[in-house]
Amino acid sequence: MKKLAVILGAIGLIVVLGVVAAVGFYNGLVTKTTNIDGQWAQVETQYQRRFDLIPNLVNTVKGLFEQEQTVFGDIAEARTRYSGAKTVDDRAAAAGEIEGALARLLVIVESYPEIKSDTAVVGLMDELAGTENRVSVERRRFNDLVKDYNTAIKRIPGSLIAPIFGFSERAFFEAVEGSEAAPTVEF
Amino acid sequence: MVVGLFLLIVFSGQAVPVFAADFPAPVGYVNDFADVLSSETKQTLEQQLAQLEEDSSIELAVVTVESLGGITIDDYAVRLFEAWEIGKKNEDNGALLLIAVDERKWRIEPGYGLEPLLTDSKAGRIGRNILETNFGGGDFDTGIAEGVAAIIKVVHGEDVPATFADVAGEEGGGGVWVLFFIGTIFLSYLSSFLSRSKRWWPGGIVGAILGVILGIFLASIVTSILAAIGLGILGLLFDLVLSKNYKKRKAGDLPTSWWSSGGGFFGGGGSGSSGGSFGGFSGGRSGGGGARGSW
Repeated sequence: MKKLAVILGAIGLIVVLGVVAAVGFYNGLVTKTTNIDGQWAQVETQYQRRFDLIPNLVNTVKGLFEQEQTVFGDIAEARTRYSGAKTVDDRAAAAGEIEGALARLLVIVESYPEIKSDTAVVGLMDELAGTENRVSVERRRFNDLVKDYNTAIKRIPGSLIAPIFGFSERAFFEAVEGSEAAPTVEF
Repeated sequence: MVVGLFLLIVFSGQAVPVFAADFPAPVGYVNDFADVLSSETKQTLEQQLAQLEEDSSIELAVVTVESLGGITIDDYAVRLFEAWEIGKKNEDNGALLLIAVDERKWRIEPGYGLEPLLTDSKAGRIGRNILETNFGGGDFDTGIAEGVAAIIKVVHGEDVPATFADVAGEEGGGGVWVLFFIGTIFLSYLSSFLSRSKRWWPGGIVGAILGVILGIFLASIVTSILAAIGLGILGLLFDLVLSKNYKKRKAGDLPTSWWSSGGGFFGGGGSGSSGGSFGGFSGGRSGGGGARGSW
């Protein structure tokens, strides 16, 4: 009798442990998903910051060089597209275009010493450069979280538990084409 | 402990920053790894920055490195910030002044909480007007001393930055404590079960079974066997101690519940910040704001 009780107790303990392990893992995945969403919000916050800066910058610089109108057109166009984007992918694509256009603008400004030394422009350039860095930092953190999550659901026990609760792989935020390469300017 | 260990192993694996290990630990507010500052400057700055933290709780780290090791100064700064966690937790009121001597680059990076005060354009102005002009002539002492004074001025004279109460509660550490709690409850069940059995061997069996499960989770037969043996032995010892303890307590008329018989390893792990001198940075974060430049 005593022996039976011991064995039953041990089996019961193992079953309970298994359930606890599954619940703990499930909760872990929920936390990871929430963190990813939170980090995405952080990325969008920085995008918004960038958009808020653009009108200032454009207004300050526009009058200073009339001959570089295409880049302003590009920025305005990409900005409209971003606001109208419905899916995350579209948004990311539009954000990438803005990034590319802004990079071109920065290069243009660099090539005009009289504009470069304008205090207002310099301040805005600092803000813009800071914002670009913020975007890349938050985006890297987003990708780190996605990587962590994707690893968790692909490894055992994740690969066994995740499908049961419908956890699926999340997409990385790939840097959009043209936003990472150094922009070329033609005069 | 077996159960706690088991749970910890299965659920561990929170994201560990890859770069954290590559940075040396901070030696103070001033970390002159490139050895460009005179000892007087270092001492004065150290005192100033300790005073700054005492007055406003703002943590400002000054770091000079010889080389960035191939990554950009932006990346270096943000990862160093992640590794050192400059600033108070949840207030994120830290800031980093980083100087890379070989690359001739500087960067000023505020924590999230200081971004409204130490803005990108202000950081840029401090860098260009103070750091670059002095560094150009090789005068790191004056450049850094005046740069730090300017940063202190910028973050001072205004209200202490609003604290962002973290609604989500403790970040990162919370999960471990929950696991620890669950582990403790199961350990409590397990130990009372084992000690009441008054035999010394069931612990070994439980340990061995746990080892097999652990091995299955880790998906390797070798680990499974090793874990079974290891945890089996641990379980045996555990049960032996518990059974002895139970008998002793029974004999001595002491309470035999887990909380009184087995507790006591909850040591108080306090994080002390000693006033006046450097007591380590305290959990602040940054988000890549600030400015950089070169001379």
